[in-house]
Amino acid sequence: MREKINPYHIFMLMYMVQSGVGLFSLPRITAEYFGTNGWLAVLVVSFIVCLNIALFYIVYRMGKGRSVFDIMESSVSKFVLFPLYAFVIFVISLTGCLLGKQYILMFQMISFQTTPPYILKLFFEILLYFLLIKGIYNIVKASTVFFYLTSWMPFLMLYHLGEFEWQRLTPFLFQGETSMIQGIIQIMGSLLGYEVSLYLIPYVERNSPFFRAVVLGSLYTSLVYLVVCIVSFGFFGFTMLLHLNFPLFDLFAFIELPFVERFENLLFIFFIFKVLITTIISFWIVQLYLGRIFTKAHPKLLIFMIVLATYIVSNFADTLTKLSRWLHYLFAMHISLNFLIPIVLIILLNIQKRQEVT
Amino acid sequence: MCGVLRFACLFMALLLLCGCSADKRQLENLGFTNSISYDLYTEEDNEERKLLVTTSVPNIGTKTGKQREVLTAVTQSSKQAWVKLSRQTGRILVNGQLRNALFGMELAAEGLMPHIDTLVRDPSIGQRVNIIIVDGKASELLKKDFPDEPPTGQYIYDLLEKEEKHNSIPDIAIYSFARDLMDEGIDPVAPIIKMNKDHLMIDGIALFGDDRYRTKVSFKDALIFAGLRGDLNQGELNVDFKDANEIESVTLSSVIGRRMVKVKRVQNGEIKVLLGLHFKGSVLEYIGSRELNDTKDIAFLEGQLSDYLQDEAMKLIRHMQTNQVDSLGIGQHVRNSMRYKEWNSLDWKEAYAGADIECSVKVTIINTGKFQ
Repeated sequence: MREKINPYHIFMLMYMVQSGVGLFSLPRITAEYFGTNGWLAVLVVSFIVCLNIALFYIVYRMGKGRSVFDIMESSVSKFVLFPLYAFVIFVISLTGCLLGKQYILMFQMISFQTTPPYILKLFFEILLYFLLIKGIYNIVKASTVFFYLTSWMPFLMLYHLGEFEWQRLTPFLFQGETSMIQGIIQIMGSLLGYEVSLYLIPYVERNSPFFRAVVLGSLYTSLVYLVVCIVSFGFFGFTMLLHLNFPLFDLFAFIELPFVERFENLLFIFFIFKVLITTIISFWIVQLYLGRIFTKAHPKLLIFMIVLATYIVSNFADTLTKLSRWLHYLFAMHISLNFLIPIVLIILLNIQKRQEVT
Repeated sequence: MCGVLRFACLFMALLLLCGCSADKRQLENLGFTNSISYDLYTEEDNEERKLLVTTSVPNIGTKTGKQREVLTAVTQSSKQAWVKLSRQTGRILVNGQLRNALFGMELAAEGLMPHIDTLVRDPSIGQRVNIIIVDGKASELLKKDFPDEPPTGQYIYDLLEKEEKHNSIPDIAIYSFARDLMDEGIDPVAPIIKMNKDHLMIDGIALFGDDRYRTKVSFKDALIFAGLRGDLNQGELNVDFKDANEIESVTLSSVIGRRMVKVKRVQNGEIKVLLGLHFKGSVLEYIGSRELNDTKDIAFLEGQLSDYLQDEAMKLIRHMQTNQVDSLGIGQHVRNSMRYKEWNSLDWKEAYAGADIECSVKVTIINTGKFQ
């Protein structure tokens, strides 16, 4: 009998997949795209994510535990599906690898200014490859360990309460220059990863509180994001926030302990666990899709090809500005897929249900 | 087993590759800049204004016999100066341990924004670098050695840290300065230091209008200023007043202060700001004719202290209004009492100078020590 993933692990996996390096710029993004008190947008986006998860839940209930691929391939010809698969592979693999690259470029900016990023990225890829070949059960277990290794980090925000002032938040709601649609894409981009729940359906016990864990994990991520954003608004004020590329990094830089200072570099290293899980899960989904196209290929070979191909592509994104632009487009496509795939699946399941009746 | 060995070999090979990086740092080859100073510099035969940058690098583990190395460069910008300074030393200059950024008064009057921008932008510079204004030339102060004190950079840092803890000077981290500079409805402040024979001393608090130095608050008013700017957790107040034609003196210790700001709109739409201060503390020194165990006398002293502090606070507020510096952040409270459009259409700098700001002070003596 195949081992099943426990909802307890799913909760932690959701947090580890969703939270990542996007959190470093999130407070600025909320201010830039939503204006004053932009932190409230995190609540709005969190609600949209919950709606998206609700669509996944409908697929889970209607599909009775069948995998996404089984549902699609039992109704639609593979020749029609393969271009869709190829597009999904393109979007998810690039998003995953570029999020990893974003971490590497930030790491370079902070600690290794003159080291070529491709060397740093190589280390990242090696870690990624060796965890990915171990399969989803081990990835989930690793993410649980990583969760506990990083679970104390949100409490660091308590350190800033002494400097926090509510009056810096202002009573104005979403005022100033705003671009809300772009902002929603950006914030949802930093919450991406929850789509893994759709692909985990065959790996969890039927009738287990699987989706409750998914929603709770997602809400916990949103809560952490919300706290970081509120603290940033009350700590830096709206105008300064607009000038900071990575406000969370500046929040970390403010922390000083009696026995250690310039603590931020150490804290930043802990984020590798989150980024690693985000990228690994993206690649795992890509591996599932590739496995449907190349049915006879060895999984390790597929993984190697994914890692190698994305490593090569990621080298073209050599500046943070270029990378942010690429990520913005990818986020838009990724979010569209996150809504499109479950809607298509629900339609297919309805058709299959009618066919069964007739 | 073979797989583990292969992985270990690969990992070791990658680790060795790290050695090829140009980012390796050997401690003995580094010069950890502790303090940096900026001054305006004008050559005698040339009217072009340049920047005089001086840095103090402690000597750790070197055999020069001197405690620190002082380097100076004249350039157009601080980053250009960094290149020039590096050319003068055998060590690699790094600024990860930078603690103090000193600015000459003349430069501060011209505006600090370009220099603050450079310091905040550099990821290797921490958020807690102290922003300090020097009465005179910052470079001369940084170059000077004080025989009875630690090396100058460390001396400045220790002195300011201590004073900040006692609320004699406000929060002086670069993060606070930059935040108040950019935020609407508040202007930044910084401590002023000056040389006094063989020592340094705090001379007061520099008040800025945007990024330019405008005026100062003297050191004797520093605690009242701190109370007006925000809540106080520690401090000491000395007050002299006349009682029956005799000068009496009270020292209020362990002062805790709470500030309350109310913004009201009076009938013709004008803004009225009410600042309420409540100071609590212990009287550990009193020179005068009253009895400290008599509740009536205690109430009298509280009244005298309140009146004195209220007068001083009002003088400070009027001084700031005259110089158009909103160092107390009253604008933030006014902004928060308005609609967004109304605030945007208001020229706060202009309105601040003529605003009706009132202050009331209440003093509570918690105890009078262990002696009746």
